[in-house]
Amino acid sequence: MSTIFNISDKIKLENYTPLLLNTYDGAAVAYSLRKLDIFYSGSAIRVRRASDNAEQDIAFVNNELDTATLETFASGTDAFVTTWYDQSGNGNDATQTLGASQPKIVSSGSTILENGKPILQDGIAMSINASITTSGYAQFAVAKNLSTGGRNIMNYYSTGADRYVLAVDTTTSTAVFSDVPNTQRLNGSDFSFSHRNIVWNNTLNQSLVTLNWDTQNDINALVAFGWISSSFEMWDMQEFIVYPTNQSSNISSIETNINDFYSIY
Amino acid sequence: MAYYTSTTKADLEAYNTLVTTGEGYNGTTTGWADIVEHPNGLDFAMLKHPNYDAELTLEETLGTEWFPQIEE
Repeated sequence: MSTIFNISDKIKLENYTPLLLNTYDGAAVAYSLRKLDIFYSGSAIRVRRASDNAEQDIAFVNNELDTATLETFASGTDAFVTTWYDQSGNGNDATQTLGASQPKIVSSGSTILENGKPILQDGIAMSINASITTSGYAQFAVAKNLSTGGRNIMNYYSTGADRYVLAVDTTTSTAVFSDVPNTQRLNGSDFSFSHRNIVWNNTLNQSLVTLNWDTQNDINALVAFGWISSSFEMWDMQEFIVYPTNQSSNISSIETNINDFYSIY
Repeated sequence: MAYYTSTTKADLEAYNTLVTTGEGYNGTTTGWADIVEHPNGLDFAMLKHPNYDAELTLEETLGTEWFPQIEE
């Protein structure tokens, strides 16, 4: 049966341009405001409009967020994201049930854009109920930091005492890593934690932040994308993909795919 | 972002109910905001909704003492 599906998919791919997850599959979670898998048939996000709290799923058109439908639904008001659907096929959707913490996607009827592409604004604080056993960890995030104060964090929890984070603090003095990635990249270039100020400054702009580990096991609770709400709220985000395996051989190609779409650097 | 603070958790739970009811949240959205508990265990805070007032102490922001440090 699986062979039949594989052949079917191959035939389909001959007629369509493969997207990121078609070329680099196996993601544990994959959130984006663009389509990442040509065979993904679900929506991108579920939104709540401020005027009456009605909700609607918003899908893709030509592999990008259907902003026309989004703006029609918003009807001149603001709209907030309640669910960011997982395109990995694992069903690990990210949700936020509290109105104060739902990221904004439409402001006064217009889709919020960053560098010409839609972006989730005013903080990412969404819960993911996931149970993932990993043999590595690779994270690709297209994000923009909003604040010059407080902690500036994207992280990936295992347990409270065993967390894995990309973080910079208000100073350069605090190391907050329980493990050290073997690859850390910002906008396609290597960086090290001794240069956290560079990360801090650059993430005030739209940035592509990549982390890659050799080993990591038994991820039980994945909480995106921070450790407390005050940290979440400093991030705008357009894409967040995690692979449960080391992606050393694919990092540059995945970064190129992402940058080709977002034109970050 | 302004916050209401109180030493009584129930005050903030009531404020959350006030906003949730007033806004008519439904569907995926079930409430306004979480209660932030100070590490001292005695003080509590909640983000203020711009359209709803309460007779609680208003702070323009919460100091860093409200948030625990990440372990090194």
